[in-house]
Amino acid sequence: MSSIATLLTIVSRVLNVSTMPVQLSLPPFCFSIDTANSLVSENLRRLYPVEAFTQAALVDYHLQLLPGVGIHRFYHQQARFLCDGREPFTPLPAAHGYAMLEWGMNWAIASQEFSHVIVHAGVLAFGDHAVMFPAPPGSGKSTLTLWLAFHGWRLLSDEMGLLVPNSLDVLPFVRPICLKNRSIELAKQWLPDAVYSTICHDTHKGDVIHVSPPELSWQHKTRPAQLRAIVFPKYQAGSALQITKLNQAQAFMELANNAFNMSLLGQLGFDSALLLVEQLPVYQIQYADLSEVTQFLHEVLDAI
Amino acid sequence: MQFDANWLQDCWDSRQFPQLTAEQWAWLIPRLRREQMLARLALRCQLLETPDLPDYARRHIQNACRLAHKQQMQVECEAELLQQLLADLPYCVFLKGAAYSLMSGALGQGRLYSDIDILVPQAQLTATEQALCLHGFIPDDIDPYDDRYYRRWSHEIPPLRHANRGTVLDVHHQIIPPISGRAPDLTRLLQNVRQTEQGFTVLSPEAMFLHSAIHLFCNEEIKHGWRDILDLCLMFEHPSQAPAPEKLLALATDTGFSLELALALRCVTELTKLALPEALNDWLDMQPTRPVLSWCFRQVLQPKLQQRWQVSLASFALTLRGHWLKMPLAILLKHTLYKLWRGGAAALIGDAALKAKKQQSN
Amino acid sequence: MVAERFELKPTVLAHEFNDGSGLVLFERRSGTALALAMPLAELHTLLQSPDQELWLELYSHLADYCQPRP
Repeated sequence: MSSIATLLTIVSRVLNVSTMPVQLSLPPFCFSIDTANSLVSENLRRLYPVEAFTQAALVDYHLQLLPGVGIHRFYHQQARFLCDGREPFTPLPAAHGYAMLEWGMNWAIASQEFSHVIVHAGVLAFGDHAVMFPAPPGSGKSTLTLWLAFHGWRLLSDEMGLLVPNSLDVLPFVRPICLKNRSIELAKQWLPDAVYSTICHDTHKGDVIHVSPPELSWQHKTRPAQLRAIVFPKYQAGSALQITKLNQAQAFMELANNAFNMSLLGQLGFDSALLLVEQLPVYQIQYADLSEVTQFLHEVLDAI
Repeated sequence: MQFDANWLQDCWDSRQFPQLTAEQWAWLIPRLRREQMLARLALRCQLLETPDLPDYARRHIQNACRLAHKQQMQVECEAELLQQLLADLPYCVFLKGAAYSLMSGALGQGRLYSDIDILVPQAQLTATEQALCLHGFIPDDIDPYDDRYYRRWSHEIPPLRHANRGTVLDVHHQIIPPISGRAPDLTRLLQNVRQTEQGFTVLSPEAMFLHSAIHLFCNEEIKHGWRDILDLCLMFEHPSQAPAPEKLLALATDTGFSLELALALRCVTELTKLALPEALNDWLDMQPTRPVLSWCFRQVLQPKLQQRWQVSLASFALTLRGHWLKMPLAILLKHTLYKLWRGGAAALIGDAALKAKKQQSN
Repeated sequence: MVAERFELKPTVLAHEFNDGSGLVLFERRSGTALALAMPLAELHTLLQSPDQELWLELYSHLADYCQPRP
């Protein structure tokens, strides 16, 4: 089959008018994005500020979102994601292209950047005091991130916290916030004026939408912050706020379970995680009401 | 300076790299990453020791070297666990990338690969699979058709992935798909094994060279051609570890892979600065030259720095040839028809419906 | 309280958390870490005990455990 696929690739590459890649500078990284999928280009222009489209930085990763190959071409439109010419995922329906690109950017960084400890976490700062929210998918992390980002906190990251090894410093990697399923409707009620991508329906994570963070976050996209606490969030409908302080052994394991590259960094990753759990207060919270969470976070920051 | 395949090959051969600007690095680095050669080249040419290396290059090279280092550590650890797990087998031979790493020489330095390949006896395949499964190595969810196809026609079982560590294991029971009709008598190959310093079993220099040559020159899809041809080159680089000409020729003749050996020796000498022992050169002179086939392979085994039509043409031709070699026409047709049918059915009733159907039938 | 760390063997490091909540073992080659709610003193006892079974089991858990890769 791959021989037929190769032939079709050659033909489709000849037929497709090749597009000019756009360059997207998202400190500390810079991507080049090449796609003929107009839905993707449109969403990019909508969600990222104009200043992000700049030729000023050197490109770190060359991303492509190409139409499918082989017989699939003729009956349903597909999108393939490539990073530096390599294809880490199986193709998705073309309508999922934008979400695929955002996930692809996550993949490119999580699997190839080892100058930072990378944690699957939202990171937000009040002034320069940051709180990291590591959590597995489905725990309501992004909804919390969105809420805080639109209530006076600045977003450093929604999916990937970039930590400077052996320190409490955290770098921003400002990108749109990814919401799923029921939180989409919720967000649109709270924030009717925010900038949303088109919805990708029925992805493997359900319905997915991306939201551009507010101006404050974009303005400080190169300004590091210092971690003051780690909070593992868990949304539970109808629950009053429950706070559990974790001891270091518990905190370490929770952190390790949510880290992308800690084991790859070896001792550097291990020492960095130890420093965090030995120096920071670490909590697990269960909540339904986000204003209760906000109040708790301010109390944590004030206590330090 | 013309930054083409010849230039890059010269850098590799001479272990010297010119001073490049950050912009030049930004052009070169993604291309080297695509070839899975960034770490390997960086370690060979000691790029991180280069004075005035631009920050951009330093960061990306460091990333690649960290990944390679981690892989080296990880494979030793995995190999130890596998060795314990499969201790009852008469043999468990580490193949390809994992074997290169376990030998801890220049061959493994910075060599990247995506899975660990092992060779176990066909008779012990079920026992092996069970032992691995008990210890967390689980097959990925695959189409029952593909599973049957693997088991019936392939030289390996569907890849196993460790549930926690994510390590992917390819368990082979032959070195080439039996369907090709060329699978050699394994006992002949298994007379040619050696132990690494840490006690892992790998193929002897001759069998290792021949196996890599077969793998590269019978393959229908060559993804990392430059990396793979340099594997072959590196096997000859250290005389004490190099294949002995007489043994190599005898093994190739006995197993029926003289053509692949000739192609490998010819390509490796044409593409790199490697000088072969005289005995091999003499033998090569007596072999048919196969100019078209050699040309095709030379195109895909060079680093792909620019887009060239020659490469597209050659890889297309080699893909067809590879399929042809691996499968008799009747089976190729059946396979293609099934894939087309599945594609068509997916279009009509949707992929999800087909998956649901599969789950019901399980 | 000062955190204590020592080598269990060349490839495995043990580190005691400074709040006394337990210790963490770190396998250098795989980069794998496993936290245990066990004070260091107890681990010492365990290691010196003639019954090595328990220790081997502990170690095999460590080997099998790892953060999933991205």
